[in-house]
Amino acid sequence: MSIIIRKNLLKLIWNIQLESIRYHRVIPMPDPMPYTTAIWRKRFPYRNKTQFEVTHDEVYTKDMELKTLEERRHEFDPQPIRVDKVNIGYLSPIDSISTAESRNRFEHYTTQRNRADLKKLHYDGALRLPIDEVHNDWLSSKYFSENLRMIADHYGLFDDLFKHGYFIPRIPLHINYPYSDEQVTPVYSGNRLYAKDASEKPQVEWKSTNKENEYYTLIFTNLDGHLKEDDAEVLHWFVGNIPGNQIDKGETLCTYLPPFPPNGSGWHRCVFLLYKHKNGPINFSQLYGSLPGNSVSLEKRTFRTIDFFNKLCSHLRPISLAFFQVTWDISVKNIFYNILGMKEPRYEFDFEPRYVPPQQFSVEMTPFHTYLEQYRDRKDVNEEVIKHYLTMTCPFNGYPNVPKYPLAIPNEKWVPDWYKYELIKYHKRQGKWKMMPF
Amino acid sequence: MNIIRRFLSTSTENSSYTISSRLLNRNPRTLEWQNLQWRSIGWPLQYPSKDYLHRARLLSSGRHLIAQIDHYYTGNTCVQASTREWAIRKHLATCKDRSVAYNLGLILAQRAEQCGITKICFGHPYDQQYEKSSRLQYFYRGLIDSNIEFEQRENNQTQMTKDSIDGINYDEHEHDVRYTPPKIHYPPDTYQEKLHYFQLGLNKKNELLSNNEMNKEEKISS
Repeated sequence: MSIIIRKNLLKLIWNIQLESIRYHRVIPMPDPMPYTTAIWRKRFPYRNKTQFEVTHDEVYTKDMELKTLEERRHEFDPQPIRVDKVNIGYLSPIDSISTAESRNRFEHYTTQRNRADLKKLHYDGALRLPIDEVHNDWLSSKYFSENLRMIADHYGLFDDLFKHGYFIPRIPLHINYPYSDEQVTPVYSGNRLYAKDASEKPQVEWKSTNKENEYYTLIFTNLDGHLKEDDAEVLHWFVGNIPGNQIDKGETLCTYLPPFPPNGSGWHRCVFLLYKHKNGPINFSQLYGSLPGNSVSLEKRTFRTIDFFNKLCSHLRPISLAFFQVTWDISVKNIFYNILGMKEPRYEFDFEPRYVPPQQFSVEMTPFHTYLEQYRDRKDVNEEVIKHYLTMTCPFNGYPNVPKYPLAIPNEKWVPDWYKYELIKYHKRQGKWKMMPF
Repeated sequence: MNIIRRFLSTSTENSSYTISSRLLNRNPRTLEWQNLQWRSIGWPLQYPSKDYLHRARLLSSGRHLIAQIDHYYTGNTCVQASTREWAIRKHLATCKDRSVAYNLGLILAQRAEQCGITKICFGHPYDQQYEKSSRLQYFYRGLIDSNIEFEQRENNQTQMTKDSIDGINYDEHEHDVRYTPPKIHYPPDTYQEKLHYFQLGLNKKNELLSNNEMNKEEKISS
């Protein structure tokens, strides 16, 4: 009997404990609607029920509608292509350093380390490296190639020229535009020039071995300046089948047209690409198509390096690169009128419009004139200001009679409040009147 | 008065060529040079601030010094100059010296101008690390002596203005620079050209060039 009693007792105690556990560890129901009134909250059906009556899904139904990151990615781009970029050019450097040379260099370093006079220069802070010599030596090193590739990547050249390819430029390309009798404007990697600096043909030089069958092709394109299509380039200069180093002996399949960045369109990248032929001269008209010879028509001069390289990739390989950036200059007007025979276009930067909430028919608590002015085109507003400014400064109307303290002068007749505030804004040059130069 | 405008060219090849009304400039760096790129804000209470476009850094590995210029948004290194290169190292006795840092600054600035980067933000101006390390001081001295410009934030697209006096400017709370009148003192072409060539350093002579003859010739001709 005692044992049974004890068993029942145990059961009792266990049940009591369970129930007490249940009421002790009450997990309060989180508020599904945080901004509700007290009355609504009291009437909410799940108010008294807690962790065993209400499951998460019954309350939070909105979570089920949210998509995972994977699903959203799939929606955005159902078949994404992930292509690693391919090295199109030469894989290994052309003039690599021999082991004997590198051994010499290391010996040179050790001798330098033992020179007391050099060390003295170091410690005194008087050491000055010859910058021109350093530059010339750098041009033939692998660091130059790597640096040039980094910069070309930074400017997005490889994305626009060869979509899924890149190359490491192995040879430095020396390009100089004539500036005056003694001075030249050099083109490095990403120089910023005005259009008049590039109006004449440049002198192009590169180092070539004196072999028999070495042919090169030089192409000069403007990546950003195409006035019609977004993804096409403008071909400015095409010289094909250049034997060795001499451009004069190559076929100019497209005469030099100076770059013409229109006003307001920013800085255009203009690229010189040097390709090396694998086996002798190439018949371009057969393999690629017709190239504009002397013609100035912009339709014929549309060019896509991707198409060009796809057709000729078994015959050519890019070996060198140089590019600069051009912007508008007054000489561009002459190019349009004299050479191209078109009117000069003028562009403006397309700013993102400021966000204004969608216009409603009647709005409370806002003065109607400021509300409506938000929805006018900003240019019309500015036009009013400019017209007023022009009437003020019109030479036929005499000198404008601007009082010294305009806000201190009382109005003669009654004027509604909103108009009064507009006048105050005008006198203080706030808001749209900020454009007034005085 | 009737003004008859005649095109001097005789070609009619482009007479039927219609331009699209929008031009897409694919150059990812135009906006930066035109000062229209959105910049990051919110750095006044945080150090080091990252509101630069191009930052010059001096790194040191075990035996070498590397000077590089980073771009903030993409994280690319744009220009690099290090003592590992034969071109630089053959003139040096030690590779991690402070005068080496000075020369690296000069070379880096020259290479940056060749790459179109004319404005650099100098990393840490007045900092415990800067005051302690004379190598860093020499590096920045080298950048300054090469006449490259210091990057400054001015006239951004639309951002909250900051006055030189702390506090809230209730009048100019949102200063929209697009609609301010242009500040022109000269006719646009010559002023911008003057500024541009000034920035490129063509009017200034690099004092560290040891060729005095070259300087004299240029002074006579310009």
